[in-house]
Amino acid sequence: MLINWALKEILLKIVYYGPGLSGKTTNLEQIYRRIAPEHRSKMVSLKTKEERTIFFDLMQFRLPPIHGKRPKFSLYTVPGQHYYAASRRIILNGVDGIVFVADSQRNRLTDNLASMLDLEQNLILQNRSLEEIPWVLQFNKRDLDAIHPVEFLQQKLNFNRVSTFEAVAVRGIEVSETLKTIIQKVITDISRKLNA
Amino acid sequence: MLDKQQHEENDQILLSEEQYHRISAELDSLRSKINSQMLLFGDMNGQLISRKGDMPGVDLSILTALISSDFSATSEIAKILGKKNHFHLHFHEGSNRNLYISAVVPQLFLAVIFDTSVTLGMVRIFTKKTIEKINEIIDSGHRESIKYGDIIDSEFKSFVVEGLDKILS
Repeated sequence: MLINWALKEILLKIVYYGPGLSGKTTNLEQIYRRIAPEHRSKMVSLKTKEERTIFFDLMQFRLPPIHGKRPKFSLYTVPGQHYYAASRRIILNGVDGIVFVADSQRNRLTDNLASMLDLEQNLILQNRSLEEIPWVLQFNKRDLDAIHPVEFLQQKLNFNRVSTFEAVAVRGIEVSETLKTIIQKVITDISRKLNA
Repeated sequence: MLDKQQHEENDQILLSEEQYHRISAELDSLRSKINSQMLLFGDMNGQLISRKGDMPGVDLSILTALISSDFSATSEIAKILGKKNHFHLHFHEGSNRNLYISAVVPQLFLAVIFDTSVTLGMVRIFTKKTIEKINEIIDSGHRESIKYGDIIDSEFKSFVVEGLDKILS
């Protein structure tokens, strides 16, 4: 979080985390399409020539002023592939809230778990943890056939009993709801910290 | 003001309005001395704090985020190469414009975009002096002077939800 007192801007950072090809970039693309251009930046994607995220995707948007205060949000994705560990650490710096995008397909459970462990380890490096940081869990690709039941994924991935969403990001299903919920959680968390 | 003793990497820095205006005046002064096209003062998490100058058609928030990522990536390289301290400055040379980025404290950077008619030496000297002054301003802060409740009060969350509903179709 950064508060620019002179401009009354409150700048918050949300990171979409999860294994490769789980739909993190698709979430951002859908949000980008749904927000009118006057409220958002361009979307920047640093990709390989195979269209895989190599460093991050980024877009920013701002809300209409609230009593003169101007909330602004930066949304980042991390590259999911395991060898981009250093990039993920960098992007997590200063994060205010996390959306973990899990791939619901049966053959991706191990990847989901590895990514969750990787996230937890990277947060520990910042002296933070999944127990204190605001985060939500999105079970993506619910429209595919070979997927785990939600109850099973809850049991395997949702140790902290955070809010969950059954999404089909490619069709925009539950994408906005996921974003709205993580932002509410971040605001609650920051309000608690600042007024403590 | 800021909540720190040693400018450690993970410390949070909160600038008061008065500090912001003093830093802004220092940036104005620097810009006039070196005739730079643009100054960007931002944090290493990619947020723009202040800018001087303009670049039509360029999204400066995105530019700030990319510069901070560049800085962070290079710092990671320094760690891998076994350097205890991060690289404190970067210089990118272009055909028409150059980019000089310097860390202010571990959490903040100052980027100077200038055309090739300005010498790098001059940019380095004046930027270094400005950074020293910004550090003095940051050190002069007092936590008590900031009223957090003035920014995020009880109504704020409900207005954020309302705002999100309006802009997200």
